[in-house]
Amino acid sequence: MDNDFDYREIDDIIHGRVRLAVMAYLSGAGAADFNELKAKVGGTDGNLSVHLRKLEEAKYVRVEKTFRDRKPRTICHLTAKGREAWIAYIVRLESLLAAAR
Amino acid sequence: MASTSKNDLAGEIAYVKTLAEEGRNAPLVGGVLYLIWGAVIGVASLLTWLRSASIVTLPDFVGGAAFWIVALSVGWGLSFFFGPKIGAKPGALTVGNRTAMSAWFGVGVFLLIYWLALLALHDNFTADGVKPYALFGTMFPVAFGVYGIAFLATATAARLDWMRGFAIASWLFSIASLYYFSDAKQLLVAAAGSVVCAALPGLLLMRREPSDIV
Repeated sequence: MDNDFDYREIDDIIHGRVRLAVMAYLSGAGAADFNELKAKVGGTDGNLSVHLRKLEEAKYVRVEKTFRDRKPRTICHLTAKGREAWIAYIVRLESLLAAAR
Repeated sequence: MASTSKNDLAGEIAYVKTLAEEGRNAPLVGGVLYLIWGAVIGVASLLTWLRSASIVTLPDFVGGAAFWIVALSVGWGLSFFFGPKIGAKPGALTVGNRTAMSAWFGVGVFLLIYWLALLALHDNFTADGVKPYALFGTMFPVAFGVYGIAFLATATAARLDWMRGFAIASWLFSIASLYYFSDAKQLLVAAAGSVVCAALPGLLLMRREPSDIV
């Protein structure tokens, strides 16, 4: 079978439902508040925090902690490295689909 | 089995695409500020015209700048009150919203500085034949000109094609107010322009705003 797709090339850091959703939303918005992300991608605070930390460790996302009206606020930004990884991930998915046709 | 996997993958891609589009198309959240500035500038322009036409008479100690000092104080006061609330709204951090906030904040600061400069310099050129206060006639053409630039930048960043129409309308009001330079009718043009180019888009944006999460 002539198939140039290698599943090992899929980025594991992105390829999880919550992290994928976070990256998708940030790819459009650029940045988002933690509560906004939670409402968009679902899950609990703890669950989302774990996934964000993984994206932050990979430097795909930059997490900024600020205060607004004396309440803590967490803002997540997609980094340049994150955008590159996101584009590469989409290209890999396209390859997968092309190979499956 | 393979078909199920393909369907799963197609479902995942559809979900990801929806999320990406929601992030990209998050609505603008600053409509109330457009409405506030449209109202205060519109009312101040109208009152100044009513006074210049002697329809409204005020005591002599109330200077010509009184309406504008009150209008700018109310406008900036309400902007500082609502600004943080707007910044905390869902979607406020999107590229469209950050560009809009930055562009309009720049417009506000520039026009305030320009107005203060006019206050300081308005009678500096009388020796060259420029009448005192005549330079204030440049305020509205300049203001509507920069409104148009901000509308265009906001329309592009937020992907709101209808907002380009307000950019064109602003530039038309810029030319119209220049046409009535040194004529009291300029104030009526400015009042109408404030409603059309600030209050109206503000109302349209407020209708599009989500009550909660976008």
